Amino acid sequence: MTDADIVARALKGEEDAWAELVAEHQQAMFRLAYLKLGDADEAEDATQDALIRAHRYLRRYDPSRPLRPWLLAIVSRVAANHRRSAGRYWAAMQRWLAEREVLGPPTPARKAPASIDEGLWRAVQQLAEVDQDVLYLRYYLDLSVADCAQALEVAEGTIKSRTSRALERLLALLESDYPEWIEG
Amino acid sequence: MSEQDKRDRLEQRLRQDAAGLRYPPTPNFAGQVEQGAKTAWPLRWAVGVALILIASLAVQPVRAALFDFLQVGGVAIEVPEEDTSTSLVSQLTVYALKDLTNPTSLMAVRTEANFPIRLPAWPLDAGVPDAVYLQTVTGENQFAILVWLDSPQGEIDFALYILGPGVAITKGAPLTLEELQVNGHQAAYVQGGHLLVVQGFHESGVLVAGPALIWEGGDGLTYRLESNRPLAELVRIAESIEFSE
Repeated sequence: MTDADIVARALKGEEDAWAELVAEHQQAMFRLAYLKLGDADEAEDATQDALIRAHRYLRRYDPSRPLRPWLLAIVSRVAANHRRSAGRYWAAMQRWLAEREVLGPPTPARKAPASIDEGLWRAVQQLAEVDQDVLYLRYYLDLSVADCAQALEVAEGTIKSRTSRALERLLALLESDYPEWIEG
Repeated sequence: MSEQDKRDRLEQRLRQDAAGLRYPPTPNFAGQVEQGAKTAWPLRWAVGVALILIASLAVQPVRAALFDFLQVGGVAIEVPEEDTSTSLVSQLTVYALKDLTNPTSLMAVRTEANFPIRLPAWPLDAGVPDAVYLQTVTGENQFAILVWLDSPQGEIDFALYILGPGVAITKGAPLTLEELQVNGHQAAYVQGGHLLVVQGFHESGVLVAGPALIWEGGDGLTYRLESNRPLAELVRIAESIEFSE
């Protein structure tokens, strides 16, 4: 049975169907939220919020397209909103005022999760959110270009160019700030 | 090592590290559903909502955003869910004219920008802007800010943002959000301090005091007009731009 079939059952009121969809996709949603927020509790809150919204707007899902990118688009947006919480606003604004640039600072670095290349992870965290998003989806969640495009609600060509740009910037960061990573 | 070799190696390392990343355990959201935390709507309610949705789409500009955000051209505005009048806004410093960078002239920006710079034809005595700024986000993505003061040393009367192709702005939830039209095109009017983020190489965050009128021009560009003037005057200023040279 396809996701579209299960969604159709859920829209008819079958509670088991919705639980089935959640079970299938919750891990991917939670992991994307965790990558974006860097905290398990915040990621849980964001995922729960996203699932509530997905259920509420399930009728807007296009059954001719894969479901997972649609759900990832929701959790990505919710996590970004959570990221812009009052505390983060304050910290970001303080940094911006200190630097006094219209184009402000990159997203704040977070503690490296276990068993990851710390230099690479730190460099990824120094990228802007738009670059991180495409790297998370393409490499960390291993989505295809087409699914990435749906999740980020842009054209496939845009995904390719964003990926290329993100890799260029990541490489530049590694070369300037983590030369040992390049040499290693 | 060639640049391509470096990129190939980087992609390989990203995939390796992604495979080795130890995520925290995924909470059992599905189990919460089975315990009754969420129930599907009965069919009659679903039909009712569908009819309401269809009716609303017929009379209002279509929302391109999935939900939570109203998309007007290149600007995504977070829809406020509650009164934010007591929010963090009071703690933060408002983005000021003196903080803008790259001042230029009207003549120069018309040469340097890769999109047309049209001025409002109203108010009749507005004239040319008192200050002009051209911001480059990435590559060819630019936006211009034109500022009119109420006197040579006075406060800002209105500031007009013209977003070039490819520039995207996200606005955090303002105090109020009203949908309307400018020359038949989708528009939104926001009030209350909120965070404005220009999507680009760096994710910028500036706090703007609002209010602002945002609309999609007939030329395909997105405009943002920030001013304390009444909405009716902002719409008049906005509508005068489309037909000016």
